[in-house]
Amino acid sequence: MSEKPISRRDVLKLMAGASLAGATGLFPGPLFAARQKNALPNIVFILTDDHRADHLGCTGHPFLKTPHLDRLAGEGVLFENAFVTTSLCSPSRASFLTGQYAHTHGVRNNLTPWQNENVTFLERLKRVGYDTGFIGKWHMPGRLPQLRGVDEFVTFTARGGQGQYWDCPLIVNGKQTPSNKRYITDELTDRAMAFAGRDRQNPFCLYLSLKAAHHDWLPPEELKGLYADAALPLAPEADTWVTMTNGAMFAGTAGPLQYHYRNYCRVLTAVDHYVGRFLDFLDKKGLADNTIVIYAGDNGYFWGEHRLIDKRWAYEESIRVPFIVRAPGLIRGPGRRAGQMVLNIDLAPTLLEIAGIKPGPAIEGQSILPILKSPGTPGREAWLYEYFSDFPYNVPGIDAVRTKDRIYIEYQGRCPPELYDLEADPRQRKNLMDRVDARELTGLRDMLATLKREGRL
Amino acid sequence: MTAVAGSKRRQFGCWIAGAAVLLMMAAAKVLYNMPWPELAPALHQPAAFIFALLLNVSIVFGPSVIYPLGRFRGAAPRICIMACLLTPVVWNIWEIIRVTAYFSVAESLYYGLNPLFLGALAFTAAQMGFWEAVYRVRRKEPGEKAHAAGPIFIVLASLALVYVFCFWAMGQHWFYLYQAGYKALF
Repeated sequence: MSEKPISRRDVLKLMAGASLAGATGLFPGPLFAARQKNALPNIVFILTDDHRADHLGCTGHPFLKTPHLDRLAGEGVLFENAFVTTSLCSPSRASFLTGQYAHTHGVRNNLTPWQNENVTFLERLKRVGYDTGFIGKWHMPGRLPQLRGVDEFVTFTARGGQGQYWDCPLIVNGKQTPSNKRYITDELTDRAMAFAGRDRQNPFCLYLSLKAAHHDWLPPEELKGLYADAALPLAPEADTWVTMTNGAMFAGTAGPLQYHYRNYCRVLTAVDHYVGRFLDFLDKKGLADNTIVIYAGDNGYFWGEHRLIDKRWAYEESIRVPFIVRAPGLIRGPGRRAGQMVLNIDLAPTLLEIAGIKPGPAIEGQSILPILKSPGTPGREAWLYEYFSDFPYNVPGIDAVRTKDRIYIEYQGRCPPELYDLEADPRQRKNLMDRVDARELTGLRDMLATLKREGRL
Repeated sequence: MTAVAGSKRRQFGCWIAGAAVLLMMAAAKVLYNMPWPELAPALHQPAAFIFALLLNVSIVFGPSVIYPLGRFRGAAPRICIMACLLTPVVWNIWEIIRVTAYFSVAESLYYGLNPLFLGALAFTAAQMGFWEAVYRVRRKEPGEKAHAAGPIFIVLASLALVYVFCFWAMGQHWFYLYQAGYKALF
């Protein structure tokens, strides 16, 4: 790896070189300063669960209020075309951590365990001097790992790792611990602030992984009546009982769609409130100017679109996620929106590049640092979406290629392939497979094959 | 009318009730899944609402129609039980066939043991037990014991199973056991 420990011989060489340079007046001051670890920014990555990209105040939701997330977007960059390469909790989370597709890191669905040999960006940041913390939802199959390079690991295993909104028992560095606060987002935010606010010499990297807004969508007491009278912006094809038909009950959504949707919005409002509390804390502690804050969701969610509930399918509601980066001093023109396609697998290489680490060939994502620094930087042309069958959820295995204006989807089993023109038909209602030009189809299939084989074009 | 013919007619009446509920379930399932948004967008919301409701009600509460109807008209318990099981079993077979579009045949068969189906079966048993207890209390002669302890036990045991399959931690505990079974088998 690129961050191998420095040897005694290397130290002696460096000291001799520095002495010589100092004696001759050739000491490369700025270069040396750039290597000092206290020059590195702090990093906070906030990951929410099932948060749809269009469910933010600043993305035009008709009634959902998210002033703190809007503030974050106003002080950073809101990526309007951010996606996940697998729209399912465990694989997507592993992709954020490793910068790899699910077929590479091996967490293919919610049944396949995390491989301990997987290298996370936390581990690599630790090697260059970061204090690291993982706080919140781990939710990957198998036993809780001994995460290498993580100084503080606070998580939960209740309900198969999903945790629970109220009175969720925690596991703090391997020890069962009751939570201090009753509401889980409150508790996790407290612990995040405690970690970030600690006196330290090193920069820190905090991975705050919230249970919200996963089902069963239980808001805090004070938000229970919120949005009760709001007109819901549900899709025309959505219906009340889409939650309980055609195997949808496995998504944990028994009950009317409208009831759950209101609670979803309330839980997101609570997320926004606690993000605001955390941002205020960074301000008060004087950490905000040297802390990069990234907010993202692990996948989207269907609220009746395509007559579906839950996620997994390769439709826009499911694969798009909110992705906001606030990086004081790093972003050119903060408050802007970026249209380049970015992915969950881009997080790790971005953070590594910020810390001066070469991502290396094992990482399949690409750093978005150039886009942060220069708005005109071109983004990727196409990327691979993959979903591995996750029994008993009624979704076939999927391979798809998403370009800037097309998505071509292949299914395992008997479901026929689909092709959509996303500019003319953003809601993906007209499958173009029966009228597609043969050359275009061959091109898309070739692209899909290349992406599956090599992870990039 | 002979006693045998009368008995056959009573059994047949029970099957008719079972078939009516089955028909309602099948029609509701087909009609719910019609492409309403394309065919008749204005009808989509009310149609989907009504047919999904009928679908779920026929599966979940069908036995509360079939069992008392059959039993109070003199059908044997065995016939009433079979008539009550008809709808959930056919629904489950239909679901198994549907998911073969995504899963292998073996996986699809295991899918048939999902907690929702087991919960539906247990709730069917609970309803049958309840109506059998009611039948015994109502039909007992003055001074005779009702002998309802057995059916009441079935009600309680079945409701406990419904809780375990569907409501224990919102159904998640049993669901994870079911998934663990899948992992062990496949």
